[in-house]
Amino acid sequence: MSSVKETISGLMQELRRGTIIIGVLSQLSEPQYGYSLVAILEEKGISIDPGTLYPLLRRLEKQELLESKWDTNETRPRKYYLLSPMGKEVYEQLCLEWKSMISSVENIIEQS
Amino acid sequence: MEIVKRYIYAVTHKLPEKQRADIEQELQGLIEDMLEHRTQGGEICERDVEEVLLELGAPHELAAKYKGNRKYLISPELFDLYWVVLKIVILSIVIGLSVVAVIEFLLEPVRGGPFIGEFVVSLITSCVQGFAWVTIAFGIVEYNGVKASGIELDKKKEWKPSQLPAIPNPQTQIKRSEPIASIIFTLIITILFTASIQFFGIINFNDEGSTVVAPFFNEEAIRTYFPLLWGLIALSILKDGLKLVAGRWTARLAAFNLLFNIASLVILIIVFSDSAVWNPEFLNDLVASGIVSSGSEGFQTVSNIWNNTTDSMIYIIAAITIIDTIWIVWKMYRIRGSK
Repeated sequence: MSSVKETISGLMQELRRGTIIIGVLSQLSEPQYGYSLVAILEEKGISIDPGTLYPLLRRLEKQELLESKWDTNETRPRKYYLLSPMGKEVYEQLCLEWKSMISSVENIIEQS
Repeated sequence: MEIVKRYIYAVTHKLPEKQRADIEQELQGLIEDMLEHRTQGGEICERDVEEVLLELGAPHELAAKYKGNRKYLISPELFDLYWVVLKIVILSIVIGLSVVAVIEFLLEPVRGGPFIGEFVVSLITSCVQGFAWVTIAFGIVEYNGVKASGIELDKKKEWKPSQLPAIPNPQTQIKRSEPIASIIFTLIITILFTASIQFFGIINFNDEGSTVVAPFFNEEAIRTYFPLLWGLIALSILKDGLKLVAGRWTARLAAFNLLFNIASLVILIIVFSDSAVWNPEFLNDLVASGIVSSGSEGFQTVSNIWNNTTDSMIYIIAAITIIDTIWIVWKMYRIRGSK
């Protein structure tokens, strides 16, 4: 029985991986720093640990979907991330893809 | 907060230097945020710190996430070629050193025990060296390939069915065994030539159990040409490597082969036009070894052969090169014909 659970958790991880990027992009039309993003996503039911989010933010920045800026005015310096124009475009396109994917998958599930 | 500093160091010290400072500061901020969230602004105790670090996970795992997925010294795309090259190199070292050892043992059979020990040690160190150099070379190729993002460029190119390579025509196909055998042979000759040039000659095993060698070459003179010969060997291995990769005769491969023939001819002419490379005492050594006695009919024949061969070595080499060249041209002709 445990192998079924393990398999499911492995597959869920794969499914979640893509959705996390959509989640992150969705929240960055306003600048956010890493930990505030963790809290916001948590609140909305998408849990991601900081150890995954922080490297992901850097990767998205490297892919030019995000822009970043250090804010040193607060009590501690924080790196804020914001959608780049390209990131905005990519996000909108991703949302359309996501919706069409959902409807296809739902179709398949209902028919079977 | 010593432990936090240690954690951050453990994560970042293996990351690329350019990103290090930035990631350090970001992690510092993150850990402080997490602590604040946990204690709601209250006093921070050691246990809180520990729990936050546990939540972040093992430093090497976090570092791996920062580095991304690429953790190859040699990627799967290169690995097959790496494996072939490694096998060729190791096999050549083993065979070459074994042949050298057998010759040395025949010449000095008395040294039995310690000799075998020395042989095993040199075999192991040479194999380790061979392994290391092949791996380093491939590591550099991998590193540069990725840095130049050449692999990514290839991926972006659209693939078309028309790009599929033609099924090799058996007439123009190169069997893998041919260049591999050639590389192994070249490497063995190189090892023998470099390690024991003095044994290239007529070897006579006396009835008394000792052995005498009448070497062909003047060791000192020919050693000055070694760098040149090594260059030739490198070219030869490159040529065989290209054959191995191409898998069939193409116009470009044939052109490279012709260039190689010209280069090898030039180098060998340079070496053998210097008569000092031959052992001037060869005939005397031969007599001293007891194979022939001075003044006999046999001696006359041997000295004729020796003098003729050394004088006309250049022509022999030229003839071999020309035959090989004709063969390549014939191959080319067949490629044309098969199109």
